Amino acid sequence: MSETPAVVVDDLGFRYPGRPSRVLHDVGFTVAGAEWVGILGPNGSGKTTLLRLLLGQLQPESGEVRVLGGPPVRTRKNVGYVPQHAGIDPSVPASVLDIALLGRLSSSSWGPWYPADDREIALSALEETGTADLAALPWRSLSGGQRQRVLIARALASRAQLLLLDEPTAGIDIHREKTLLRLLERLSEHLPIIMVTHDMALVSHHMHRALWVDGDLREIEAGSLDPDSLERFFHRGRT
Amino acid sequence: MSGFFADAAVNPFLWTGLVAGLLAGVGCAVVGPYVITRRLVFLAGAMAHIAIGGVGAAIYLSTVHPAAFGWLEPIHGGLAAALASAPLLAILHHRVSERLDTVVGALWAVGMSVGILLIKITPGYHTELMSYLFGNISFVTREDLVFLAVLSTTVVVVAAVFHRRFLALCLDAEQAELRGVPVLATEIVLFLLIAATVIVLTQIVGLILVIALLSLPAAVGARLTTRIGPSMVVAFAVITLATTIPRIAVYGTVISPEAAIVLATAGLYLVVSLKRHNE
Repeated sequence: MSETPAVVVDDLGFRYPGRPSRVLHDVGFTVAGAEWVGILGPNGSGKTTLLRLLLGQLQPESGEVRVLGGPPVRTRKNVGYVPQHAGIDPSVPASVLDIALLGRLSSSSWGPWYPADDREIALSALEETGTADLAALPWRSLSGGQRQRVLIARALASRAQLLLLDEPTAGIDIHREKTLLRLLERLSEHLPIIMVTHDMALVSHHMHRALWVDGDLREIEAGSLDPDSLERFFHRGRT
Repeated sequence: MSGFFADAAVNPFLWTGLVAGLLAGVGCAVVGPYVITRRLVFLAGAMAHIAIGGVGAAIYLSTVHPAAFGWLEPIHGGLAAALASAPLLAILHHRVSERLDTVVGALWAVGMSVGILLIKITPGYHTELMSYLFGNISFVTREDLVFLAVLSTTVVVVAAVFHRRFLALCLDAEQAELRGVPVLATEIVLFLLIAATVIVLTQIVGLILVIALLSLPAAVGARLTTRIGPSMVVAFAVITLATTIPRIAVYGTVISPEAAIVLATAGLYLVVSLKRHNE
């Protein structure tokens, strides 16, 4: 891992076009290296907007966002993004390996087939997420938890240096959630992970840091990551 | 059926019609799976009807200004209109999130209206428009075959070069963009291929029925396979069967071969869908 911080956000402000008020203002934080950082906050508080700013899909109105040492639009090919709901139509004629191979796509991808090297990397990413045995199955046959793990494999196949996850545990059962969290815990030992979640127990049990977003951003102190403290923080944030 | 083979010995149009079906099948099998996976059937239909405006313009120009445009065939006008509409429809698909169906529906109707208007003001009586609307597989000339072969080959070559990008667009356009693929530019190329395929299919079933052959063989392929590559192979098999067996079966009857082709394809899709539904 290089010395460059994974994420540096400085005095960030953002407003959607045509909206009177800012969704985010005075937001600043740094993610230095391999750690698992949670982003918490009420609905509509700007959590997903913040992720989209980190991906360069939205541009700040003020302040600066630097990801992996550069502007997100330039560096996002090195960022793995796992959305809350895969934007993949379940009816598409695609295998699990086809989905993982999307992580190998680049601006220089031409021709009908991925090279053998890319297929090996995608298969090893599926292996890492415990989904290699599903590689030949149709995407539509997978459960919600399996799909989330395959999307993480897709992110790993891109050789991502940073993972951004938007509520990856939403809608999956407790057994599959545990499997997913064990995987993320293992990945966070060598990879910075920023994850939007509403699950305070998840934050307190697994994450190294947490950021509270509600227009502005506050760091939740390390000693306050237990569920009761987070619950109190949530209610203070609401008032 | 035996009448078809007996007449085929003396009527070369019966063979050129079958070859045209095979050529159309190649482009259609390659482009169709992208169309249904990216849910572009309605946009492809709009493209076909906008092409009618081009057909009308070509008939008008070649009749009213024969010195300058005497060489212009109606299909050239259709191809030009379809290709010109491709970037516009791609941009609309990419940028317009609300009321896209209304805008595309309006373009669909305007294209067709322009074609009808231009035919109406063209001196003389022009029956050829009907063959572009409803197809004319019974009278495919050798020149038509060359035109179809060039278009189909172009479609296949471009699709092979762009396949990984098209597939990414169909599966997850947001991910494609994050991975550095220029989504709008890629979509414009895809729409240009759809335009070329629409014109190839015009020769087989006409602009009105193009949507059926662009979507149904690919839909059968998607039902029977789990990956887009094999679905293209199945789509090619379906369109090959659909443009040969029904055409031969209805030969010498009052049934139009173009309608028979579409109805046979739709019937096959229905059977496959019901079978899969019951499994």
